[in-house]
Amino acid sequence: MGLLDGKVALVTGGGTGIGRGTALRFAAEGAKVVIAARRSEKLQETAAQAPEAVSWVRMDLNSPEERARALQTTVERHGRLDVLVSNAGAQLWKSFADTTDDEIEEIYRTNLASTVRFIKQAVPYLERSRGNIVIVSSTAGRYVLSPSQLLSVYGASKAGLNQFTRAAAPELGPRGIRINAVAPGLTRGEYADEGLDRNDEATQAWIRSVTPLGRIGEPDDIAKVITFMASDMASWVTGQVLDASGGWQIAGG
Amino acid sequence: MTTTESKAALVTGAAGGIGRATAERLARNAWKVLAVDRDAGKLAWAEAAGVASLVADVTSETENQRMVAETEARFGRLDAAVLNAGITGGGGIEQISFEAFQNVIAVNLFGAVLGVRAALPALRRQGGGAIVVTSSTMGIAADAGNSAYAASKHALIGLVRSLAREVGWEGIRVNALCPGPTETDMTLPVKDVAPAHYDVLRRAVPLQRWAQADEMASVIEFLISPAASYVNGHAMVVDGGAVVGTGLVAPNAGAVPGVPDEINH
Repeated sequence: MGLLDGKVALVTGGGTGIGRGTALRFAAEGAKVVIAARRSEKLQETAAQAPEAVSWVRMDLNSPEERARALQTTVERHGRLDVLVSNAGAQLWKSFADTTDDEIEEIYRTNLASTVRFIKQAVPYLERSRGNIVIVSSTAGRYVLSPSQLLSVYGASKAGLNQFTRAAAPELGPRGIRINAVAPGLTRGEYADEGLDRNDEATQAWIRSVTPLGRIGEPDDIAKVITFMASDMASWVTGQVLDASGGWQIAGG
Repeated sequence: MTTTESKAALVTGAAGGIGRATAERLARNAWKVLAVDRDAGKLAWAEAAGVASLVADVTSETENQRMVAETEARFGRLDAAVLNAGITGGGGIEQISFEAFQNVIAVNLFGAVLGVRAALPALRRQGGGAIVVTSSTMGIAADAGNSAYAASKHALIGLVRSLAREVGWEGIRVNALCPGPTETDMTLPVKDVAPAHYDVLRRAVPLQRWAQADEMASVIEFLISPAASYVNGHAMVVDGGAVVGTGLVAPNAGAVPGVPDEINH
């Protein structure tokens, strides 16, 4: 028996990293999953790992039409939507002073405006299923941690999502919808970020030194927490931002 | 996600409420459980359910050590300590006796301190493990006339955050659960003694009800399970969304109890 038996989920950014890990874990817990992202080949790779449960639809988070199509496709395929995992987003590890205006626009448009607009589009479906939303935020959205000088623009976008999570909960609760966020710490990704190559040995040593659990997070570390938040085990949890960072956040509080 | 075969947990404050619900849930899901409380009479449920139990007072250092030794003697190991025992202690700062204030700190804070100190050597023997301390939304927010309880619950979050950094290196995760109003033996008297207060708290929750104890037990189960392998030093609020706001505004009615109408409108 799985934690998500009979549930239908839409996972954005599901082609790689935390999104891929979440789609596969949801599948293992009994859910039907539609993954949505820009790169078809990455989506295909994820879906091929659990073809009976995971299917894909191409979606640019910044396109209102493609967002609507992803929701409609999910409901056409599986009859309902129980869980929206809002994981797609843009990353930026860069000094604020060096950031271009276009980069600033892009981060806030993608991570904040398009995410909130997507959730707004999903609410009617989730209201019918008494479903829930899990937003993938970041430790950088609440804490100022070394190398904080590279995360001010990105961190502010995630701080916006954290406050949206808290403030939307009392509005969505009476409509039967829970909304929560998970805030990953340093998590292994598919590519090196500007200013921080997470797979580089020196960086790994630094991560071990600042993380009480002594290692970098794996995508499945985060996927497991998202699964809990999406499941009935968290039936009384709403408006919360759950840190999943190995304890990295405590020093910067 | 709940592959916990042969793992062993102890749960304090297990006579009723969140502790009992946690012990019952863990036992259902293949954990070996020692249910601990100072009240022998109220542990009778455990024997009837086939759950091991022990009468111990968490304010005693030797009884905390005995509770850990008993877990290891019975099950050969300790993987998780759920330090949940707690008492209420209402009253204004000038009304509550100093002795009563000290007693709240002794049970709620020092009970957990002694529990952690007793449990750590046993968790190390397993190469790691998990500790969950039951704090409260009163560990984050506060209210008039409840300072002893709130101080004890705030202190627990400081304890948990410190320990997460102190023992995380050894593979031991430490987290806090912060329940909102939950229907338990400890809190239900509010319903009879102060029905208006009970209702104010009910209306402050977006889902318009108090929680059931098992809705806390499921989160404790998550926090001590491998599913939470990267969650450390977190104060997990489980309150149906009440404290995301001030905790005062009813989501539907929009009324603020105790605030004059001319301010409220």
